[in-house]
Amino acid sequence: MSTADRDWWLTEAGEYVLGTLRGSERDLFEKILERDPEAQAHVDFWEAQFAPLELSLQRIEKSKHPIKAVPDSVWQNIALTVQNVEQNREALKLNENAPELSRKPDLGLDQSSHTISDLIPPKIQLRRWRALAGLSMAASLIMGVMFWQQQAATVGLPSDVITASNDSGYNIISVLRSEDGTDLWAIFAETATGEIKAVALDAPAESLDRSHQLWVVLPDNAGVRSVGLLPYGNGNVGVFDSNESTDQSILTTGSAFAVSLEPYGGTDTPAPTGPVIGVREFTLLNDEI
Amino acid sequence: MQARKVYFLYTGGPDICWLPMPLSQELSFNELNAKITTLDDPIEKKLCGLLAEVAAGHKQAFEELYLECSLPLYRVLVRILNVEAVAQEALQETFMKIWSRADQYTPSRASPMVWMTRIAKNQAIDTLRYQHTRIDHELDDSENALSLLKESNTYGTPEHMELAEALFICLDRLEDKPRYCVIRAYCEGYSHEELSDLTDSPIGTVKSWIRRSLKSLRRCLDEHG
Repeated sequence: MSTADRDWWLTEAGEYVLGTLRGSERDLFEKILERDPEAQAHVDFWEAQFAPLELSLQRIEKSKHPIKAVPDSVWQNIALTVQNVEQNREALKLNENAPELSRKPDLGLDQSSHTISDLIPPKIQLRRWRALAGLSMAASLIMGVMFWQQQAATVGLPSDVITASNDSGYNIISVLRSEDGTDLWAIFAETATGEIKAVALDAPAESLDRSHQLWVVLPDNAGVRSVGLLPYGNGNVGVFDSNESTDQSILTTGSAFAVSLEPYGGTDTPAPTGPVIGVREFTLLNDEI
Repeated sequence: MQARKVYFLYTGGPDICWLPMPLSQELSFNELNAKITTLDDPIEKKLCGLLAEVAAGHKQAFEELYLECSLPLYRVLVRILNVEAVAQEALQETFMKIWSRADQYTPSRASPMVWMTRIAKNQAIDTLRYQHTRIDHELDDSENALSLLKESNTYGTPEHMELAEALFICLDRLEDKPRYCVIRAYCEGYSHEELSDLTDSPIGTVKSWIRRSLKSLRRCLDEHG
């Protein structure tokens, strides 16, 4: 594992422990945790390091909040749920044809027994089932994108881009960042077809007096090739054909993407006319992606 | 689905935590012993033993675990969710997850309370997905957040005090707003979006603060480790 890779996992684990990793990102990370001891070790590290904060909070709350006990009804509900689950399990065991069941079925998904879900108002349950349906779909995608994500992680691609960009044909990925570390655009490219896709992340706001133009920087001081104008508005995508204006694939010869600030509509000149606000080398990933 | 059978390692003493072991694992006595984890804190030892019993389906141990841990976990949930009725529902879900996942607990990785707190926090975050209001807490004042936490961390085991001292030194080294975001995210479950609103900063900046803070904390904690 490279240093960049390790740093990425470390911060991802840190975000998981902080609680800022949400939704499908968190679901995915938890799946990875199940099979990746190194990611788990990072989580363990952060859990241990932040534990003193939790203890401090508990002490603050003890002294300031008048919560002296948990209402008895909470335990009663839990005990009832456990009892019902166990009874159902026993009943099913008696049926010789029934398949062997887990000792403790996953309660949130168990439709055959009275569970905590039964105690939740229907509206909340509906939302939960929708969430579960989403989770199930996410889970089915996870294995397919795992390799892609590991590759993506090696170049420091932000996790939200990894989740959003499950395009297995792309074998070049890069992120253009501002000086303060903000991820502006993610660039995906496929050498086989010459297609380049730019996804706006925290891109600058659209303006009528300037445009941001994407370039491929060629190695050995061979200059640059214009790709096109970058999209604005988070999540918006621009797709370019890099073979259109050149007789050779600039992707196989290029080494970096650059973005320059140009007059509105961009420039037709062979090189940027405005300031280059970012340059980012790109990595050619394995062909098997 | 195959039953998740577990059996216990005989430990023979109160200082050793029992670990649930899948029957499929063919381990020698020495290998089994090597998996036994010793813990220094008597409360942790007790919780660890209870979790092992819960993993085997012992309801009485589950009730005992609930009696030991429900109040601190409830406080965590109230802190994040703000509404006691919602926190109570989240506490129920939390304990059902503890019941169903107890066999996944690994003492060598985290203390029992840290493990259960993570389950509670994730449950709270899931609940928050459906809520859009928050009531601010003691930590609302960014100037006081760290000092308040420091003041409340005045005693504990030597190992805990060492960890706490390093953490507070390293948090002190962060700039104000990034530190504020890290603390409120961890302590109160604030999302990037909420922190962006709180600090009146673009969400990209908040994300960047947090990730850079984590890298900086890691470096600093390594220095003080």
